[in-house]
Amino acid sequence: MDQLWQMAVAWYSTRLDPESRRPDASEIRGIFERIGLEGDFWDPQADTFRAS
Amino acid sequence: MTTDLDTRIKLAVYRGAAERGILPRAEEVASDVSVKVQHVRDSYARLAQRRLLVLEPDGLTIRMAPPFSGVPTDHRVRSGGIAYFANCAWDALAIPAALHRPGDIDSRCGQSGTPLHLEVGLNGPGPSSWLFHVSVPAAQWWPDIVYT
Repeated sequence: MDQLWQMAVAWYSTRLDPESRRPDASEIRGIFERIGLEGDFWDPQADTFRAS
Repeated sequence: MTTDLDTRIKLAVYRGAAERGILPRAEEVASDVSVKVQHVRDSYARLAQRRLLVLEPDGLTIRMAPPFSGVPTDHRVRSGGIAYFANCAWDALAIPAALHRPGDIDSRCGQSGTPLHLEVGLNGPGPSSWLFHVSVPAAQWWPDIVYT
């Protein structure tokens, strides 16, 4: 749950701000790595899963 | 110019959701931003491309403005006297995070169906043994984000 909270904050804590945007792929990868989520499953561009 | 308009419309959607607990209708957004509904439709399409909105097929009804849901879900959040629907368990935590307010979450265990209640403070939820299960790899989240 602590990881989930950290994901929620990293992704959405600025969502009501004018400059807010969805994190790009490299930022997403960085968010996951910082909270210990690594490997192809958590890679937003992993070829293994044929990213769109 | 479309960037400025998109920002104004995005804020009208998100701040409208934050203030009322429901996603505003396109007509309300158009009135709020002082543009025609067609301009809202065009902007919604661009915001959807940027993965800030998920639209219904009519292009004017918002299904998701993550973390807010445009339809009732099993993930209910109450904060500041306002009730919200979240798209998933992650978004249920994300609503207090986006609002920068404490919240109360009523949800349901995805495995057993057991009702769950969680209090979320400004620094997150208290200790629990709950697990958040992710079954779809990150690279495949968006092609069917409603399922994800």
